[in-house]
Amino acid sequence: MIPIIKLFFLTGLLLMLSSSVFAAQSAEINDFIREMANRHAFNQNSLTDLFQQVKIRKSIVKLIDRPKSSSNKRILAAWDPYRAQFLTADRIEAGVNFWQQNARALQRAESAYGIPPEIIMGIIGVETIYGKNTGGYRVMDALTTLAFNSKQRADFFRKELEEFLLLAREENADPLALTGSYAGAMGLPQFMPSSFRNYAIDFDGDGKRNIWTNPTDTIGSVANYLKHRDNYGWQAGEPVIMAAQVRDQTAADTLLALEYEPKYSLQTLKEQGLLFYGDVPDNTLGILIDLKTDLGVAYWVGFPNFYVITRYNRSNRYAMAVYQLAQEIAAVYHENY
Amino acid sequence: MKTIKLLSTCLILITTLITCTTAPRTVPPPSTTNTLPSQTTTVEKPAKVTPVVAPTPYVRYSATGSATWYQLADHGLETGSGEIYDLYGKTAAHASLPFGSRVRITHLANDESATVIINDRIQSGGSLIRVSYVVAKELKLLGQSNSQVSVTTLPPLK
Repeated sequence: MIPIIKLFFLTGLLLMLSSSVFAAQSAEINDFIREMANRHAFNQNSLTDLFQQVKIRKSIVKLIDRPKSSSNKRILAAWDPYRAQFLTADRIEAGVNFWQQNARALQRAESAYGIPPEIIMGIIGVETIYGKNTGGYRVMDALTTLAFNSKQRADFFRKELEEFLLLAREENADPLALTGSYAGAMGLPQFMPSSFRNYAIDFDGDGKRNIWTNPTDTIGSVANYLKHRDNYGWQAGEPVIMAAQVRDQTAADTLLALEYEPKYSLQTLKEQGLLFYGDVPDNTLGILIDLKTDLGVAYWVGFPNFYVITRYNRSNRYAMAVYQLAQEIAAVYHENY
Repeated sequence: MKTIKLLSTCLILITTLITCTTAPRTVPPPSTTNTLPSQTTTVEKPAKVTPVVAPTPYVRYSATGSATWYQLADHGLETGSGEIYDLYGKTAAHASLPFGSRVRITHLANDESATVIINDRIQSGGSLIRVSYVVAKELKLLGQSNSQVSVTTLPPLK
């Protein structure tokens, strides 16, 4: 999923800037339409009709193609201001209410997939404040804009556009009626079309996979995603993340240069200079997590379950925000219910 | 021959009886209550009991005093309870409250409050409670000269 933080500020601006520069991309779009017709037996005329109703939103591209940093050095962005955006009293309260209203679906998700309710609460809270900010773009507009204007990620968005057309056909939905973020992330859990097709589920048995307005389907879909996304699935009862220390810079650099995947044991990480005192067996797999706090750089060991959260959005700050929001919501929920 | 056989049978019986009656005196049965080493001189090993996580005893407690907070260098170190200190954890150290106690801390100068779990012991030093960095931030203690707080225990969760 793609972070939607900036969405709030930019929605108004983008509405003003939308323009139809359809002609400029028409050749490329026509090629794409032919490809879809050949590959998936779409009706070429219907697709042409559909794309003629699409509005290209140029300003979306600026949000996606950010200048790349020229050096290879990792630059740590400040964590506390990021945290402050997500761990707000309003969001925690909204989470407690959403949990209370959907307690049964969350219980079912925990018994079926092993995902603790608070982790699902953390994700839906960070993504959309439980449906409050799902994004007001037509997914067709957003994905077409990006697929034919993004310089860095056009292939990714063309693939997602293809997935979206298939999704609309499979779900019997009008592609122009489905809404999402500026990047095409949809509904309460902000699933991209490919994630929707692979992981969204009908969790209330009404025959539809509705992540736009149905909290039960959303909860089941997020749980299914966390359990089954590639090789790493959530392991019930296993730790998520624990504080650690690294006292010299060389050791920190070595540990952070390791592949970002929990494939090294605590034993190996300790041999490389990690100081970890938690009551966790040495053969447990982990990755070193660093965040730039107000006090300075602090370290944690992220366990495979932490890595699972980063599969939703590949960012330490994102996964930590989900985890900490989850803890806060759980504390208040258990105090009251 | 018959008398010898009879005698030996009697002897065996008698010795068995004697051993039977004397046995409890020489080998006391394992007692479940004894704790003194002098009473446990037998080879009997105490039964292995799987530790049961006892609910945190609820101590009604209320006090006011000054608060301090942990440093970055404490992040990742073991607390008195065995948990690892995390600067973003809602935890605190206190001199005597049982580990696992939930307490409400209120910064008296500004009425900001936070709920924390006691998981560490405070060493002598005059302060009532030492809170995690994030709790100090929430209570707006950072950079304040007045760090007077009230500490009140909360009933345990159901």
